[in-house]
Amino acid sequence: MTQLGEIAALGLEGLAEAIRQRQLSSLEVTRVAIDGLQRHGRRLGYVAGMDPEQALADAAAADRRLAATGSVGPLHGVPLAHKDMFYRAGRVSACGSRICADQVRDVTATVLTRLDAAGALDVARLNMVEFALGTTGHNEITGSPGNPWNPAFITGGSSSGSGGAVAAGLLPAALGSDTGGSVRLPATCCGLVGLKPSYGRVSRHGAMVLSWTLDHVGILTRNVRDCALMLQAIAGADPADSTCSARAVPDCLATIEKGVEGLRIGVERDYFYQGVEPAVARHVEASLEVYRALGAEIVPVTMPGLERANPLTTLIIAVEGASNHAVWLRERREEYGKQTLGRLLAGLTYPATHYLDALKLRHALLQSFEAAFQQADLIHSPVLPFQVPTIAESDLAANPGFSEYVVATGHCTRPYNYLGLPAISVPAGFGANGLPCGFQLAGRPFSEPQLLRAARAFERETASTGRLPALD
Amino acid sequence: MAAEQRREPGRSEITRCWLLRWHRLDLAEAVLGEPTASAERIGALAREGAASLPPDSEPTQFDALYRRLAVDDDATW
Repeated sequence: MTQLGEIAALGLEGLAEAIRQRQLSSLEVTRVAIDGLQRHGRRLGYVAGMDPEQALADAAAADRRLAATGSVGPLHGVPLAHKDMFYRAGRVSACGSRICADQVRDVTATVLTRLDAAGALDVARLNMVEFALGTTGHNEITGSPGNPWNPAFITGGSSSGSGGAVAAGLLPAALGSDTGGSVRLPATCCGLVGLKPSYGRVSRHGAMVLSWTLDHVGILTRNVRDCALMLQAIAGADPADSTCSARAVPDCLATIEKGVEGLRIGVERDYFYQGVEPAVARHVEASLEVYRALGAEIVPVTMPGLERANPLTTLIIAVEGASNHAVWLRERREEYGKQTLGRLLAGLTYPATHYLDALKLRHALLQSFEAAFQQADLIHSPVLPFQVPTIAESDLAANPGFSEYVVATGHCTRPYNYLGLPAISVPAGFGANGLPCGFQLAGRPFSEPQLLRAARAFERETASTGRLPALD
Repeated sequence: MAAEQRREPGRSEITRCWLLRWHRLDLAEAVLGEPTASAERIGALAREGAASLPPDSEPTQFDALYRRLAVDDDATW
């Protein structure tokens, strides 16, 4: 019988190939995934819901289709699962909340439709922070998932179940959403590759809205090539999402192995390294040395005004979130968790002029990045400024200091939501506490091929991905 | 009337009054806590930052620059 570890070692690309070549059946792979989610995923808090019988029926149908046609999509028969905020018509999406716990959706998210078309199976709904409003993974309603490397530690959030389940090897890939770091933070906490694509690269139709200015659909995988494969499947124009770009989707896998010779990597130190723990800074600096050894040039850059991005992201999330939640804030207030309620209520207190100021200031900060991109192709930085904390020590709920803590965790990630620039979190080893650590690369709009290429070069050189935690 | 009582009402107080109109004293109390204090600090940052912008600035300028900065499809480094 095929074991979870053997399947996990194949990754998404290898698993899809093994199914396509009929070395493995979708049914046996899906059985292993379901069993893993039942045994480990539920215990660790990753599963929001699943229908094993339907998943196995879908897998059997995928096997029959492969046998009948021989020609299938690039992810045919591979079991995936996603953050519980991508709607599927006829199915509940609870969004990590009590309010939506029984809400059956009447649309299917474009990203799910595209993964369906690629042949992937959708076998479960994965836990998340309530309404995606949180960076640590805590959820006082559904429970706080444990990091698969040590369940006493956070997974990061808000795509907590996606990060945990993929890192544990239960699934090869999962979708998350990233409004202030909610894909890249779980990626760095769990030792995964986490991509927040450019604003407009991936449709958000049928995904829960938190903040329409800052929301991005993102990807969590255990290696860089799998991340590219997922992006190819979900990216591209969508008439159902007016913010989705019509730009053609380049073949990221075609250039991913080309290395970083001649790449200019920009390093901004006044903001991105402010308050970064020395243990984290050492890992991040070491990754720069790897790039230097691979032929990249490390270039110091400055970006005046960068310090405004994080607090103004807080403002935009709060105001747009409060607008979206206005009815429930009036009528179902007692059903929210305390921190979620506190952050949404804060959104009611900003004058409209401050919200518009925050939107106008994006242009000024993007001009700073424009200047930096004259000198550098990509910007390198930490992801999480401190080592992964335990669930207990970061469980601030709505107690004093929680606002500052949220802002601190998003220090390095939120500027890229504010500006819509693509950014990727890349695993860079393990800290003294035994938990993963990563660094971040960001680029110009629609530079995903370059980001993935640079991330892949580091991964190939250091073998920084691929390790699996012991689950028992 | 004491000076403290005569001062202009702050945003927190306005919000509190507004919430009280909903008969939600519990909400009004909640909103006067840390999130509101944080919101006032952040709001001040937005106001100060915007003071440096030309008077004819508008949010759509960002979108134009974003499109201009986008990489060419065949870009290498």
